[in-house]
Amino acid sequence: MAKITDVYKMQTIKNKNKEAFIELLLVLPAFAFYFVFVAYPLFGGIFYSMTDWDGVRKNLNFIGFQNYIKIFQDVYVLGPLKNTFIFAFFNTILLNVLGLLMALGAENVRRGKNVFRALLYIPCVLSAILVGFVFNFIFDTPLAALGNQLGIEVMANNLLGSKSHALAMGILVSAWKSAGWYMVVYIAGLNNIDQALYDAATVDGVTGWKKFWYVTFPLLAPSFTINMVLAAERSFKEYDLMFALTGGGPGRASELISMTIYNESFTNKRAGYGSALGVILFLIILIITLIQMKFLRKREENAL
Amino acid sequence: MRYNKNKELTRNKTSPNRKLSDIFVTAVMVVFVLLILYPFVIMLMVSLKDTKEALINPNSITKVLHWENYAKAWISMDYPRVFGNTLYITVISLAGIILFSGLCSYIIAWSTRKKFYNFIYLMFISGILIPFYTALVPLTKLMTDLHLNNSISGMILYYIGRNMPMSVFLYTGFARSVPVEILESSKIEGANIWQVYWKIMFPIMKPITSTILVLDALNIWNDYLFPKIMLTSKNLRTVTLAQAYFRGENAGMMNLTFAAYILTVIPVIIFYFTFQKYIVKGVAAGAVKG
Repeated sequence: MAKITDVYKMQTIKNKNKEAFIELLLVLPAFAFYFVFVAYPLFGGIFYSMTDWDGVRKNLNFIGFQNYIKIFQDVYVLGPLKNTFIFAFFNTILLNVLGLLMALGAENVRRGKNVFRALLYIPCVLSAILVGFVFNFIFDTPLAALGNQLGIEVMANNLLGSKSHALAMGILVSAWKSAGWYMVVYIAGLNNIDQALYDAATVDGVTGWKKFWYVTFPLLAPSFTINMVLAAERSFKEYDLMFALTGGGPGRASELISMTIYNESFTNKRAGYGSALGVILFLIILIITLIQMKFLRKREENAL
Repeated sequence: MRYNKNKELTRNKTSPNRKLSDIFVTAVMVVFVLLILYPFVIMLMVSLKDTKEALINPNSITKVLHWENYAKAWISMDYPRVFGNTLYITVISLAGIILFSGLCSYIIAWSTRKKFYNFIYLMFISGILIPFYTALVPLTKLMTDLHLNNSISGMILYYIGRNMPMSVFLYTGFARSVPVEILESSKIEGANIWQVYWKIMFPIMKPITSTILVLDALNIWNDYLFPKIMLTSKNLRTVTLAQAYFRGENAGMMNLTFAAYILTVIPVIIFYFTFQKYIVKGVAAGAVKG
């Protein structure tokens, strides 16, 4: 009798081990892909950021935090870093304002709700590189011609060639490309608002602007959080659009930190330094996301 | 349903004020749409001009439409090859992403070894925030060391890896919400993990699968920077690389460039309008969970 239960136990243990093994086998491919192409390069980046590696030769020296110290004295980095903050700040605001306006418009328009929504989302499916090149031409030729007619000299000479305008134009083009994405998220948020709350507000005599400010906007808090966090994160990572639109110029007037990282790592053969910049960018994004989350989540709780 | 009815009720009361605001909203939306469409109109008009006119007055419609620009652009950019490369990379990457992350997430969500797989899950999702630029140098070195640079397969392997954190996150969230009873009943029938996954779990997870598909498809299709670093041979070019190089290789010929751009935009627009419902839903769903 005892023998039989022993055999039975052995059997279940064997089965259990087999099951655990199969589970591991099924998780392994995903984990291997993740480890090789995401986790390992991150640690590699942190490692190289403390070396003077040029990206080509075999030998490299460990130099501690020297790259990081250099970054904060390097005008060719501080300029693009400042540009990136300006770009991210205004881009985040503009994308959310436009996204919300378009969402409200698309939801309240009497006819063709779906048509408007569908058309306004189109730029989001294009590649950023294409959008950058097309607008580069638009600024260079049709808009310059318009500037000539209107007698606006900066515009006639190409706004992208002006040191004080290039970055701002980049923000506008980025808004053209991406606002539809934020619109879609806001529309989902608007559809989640309980109609009863609107009715109650109407009964209380709250209408128009006041209704938006005291009813709609607070109830959109979850969509607002998502859109603010993602817009900021994406703005800090922007590369393709600015590269195609201005190439960072004129001079370095519209260079973003992502472009500096690429140039330092490959063109200037300072892979260690480029990696240190990459780590700094990671920390910036991490800190800003955490701060946004803290404030915006609190706002969500207050709204509910 | 009730929501729509209520809206209809309020809408039927057409006061002059209401009419005015309707006109205003429509007008603003039309302006938005015109602004969105203007670059497409410019592209189309310039693409049909001869080279000289394209530079002198791009804003007008020409009398003679140079449709042959499209044929020239098609040949010059080697369109079938470029399109084929990108389609191949995108489709195989998506298949890999769905296959590996789906299975992995099912185990993470439903294994009895909860502690271990929770730890694995945390490792995956901590990869979501990592910017590409932090890993740029080691990634390039890794790809070169593995002889995956300048190779389509290399790009596919990379895309599968890059998209693991987000898709494991989305899949696991969904898999955890599936009722226990459904899985238990099939286990009693004697099905093993593999069978339960494909017969029960995978069909249930269809909505989140389509979300991941539409989000990642456009991301991979439109990716530029890493292909630019990795794919140096002309015959390995993807659509975005062709868009970037075409301008330089046909300098000054904006008519051909825009013809090429329109050719590359058409498939994306067709894809968009075919799957519009899923794309819009996917964006909203993906954003809310992210």
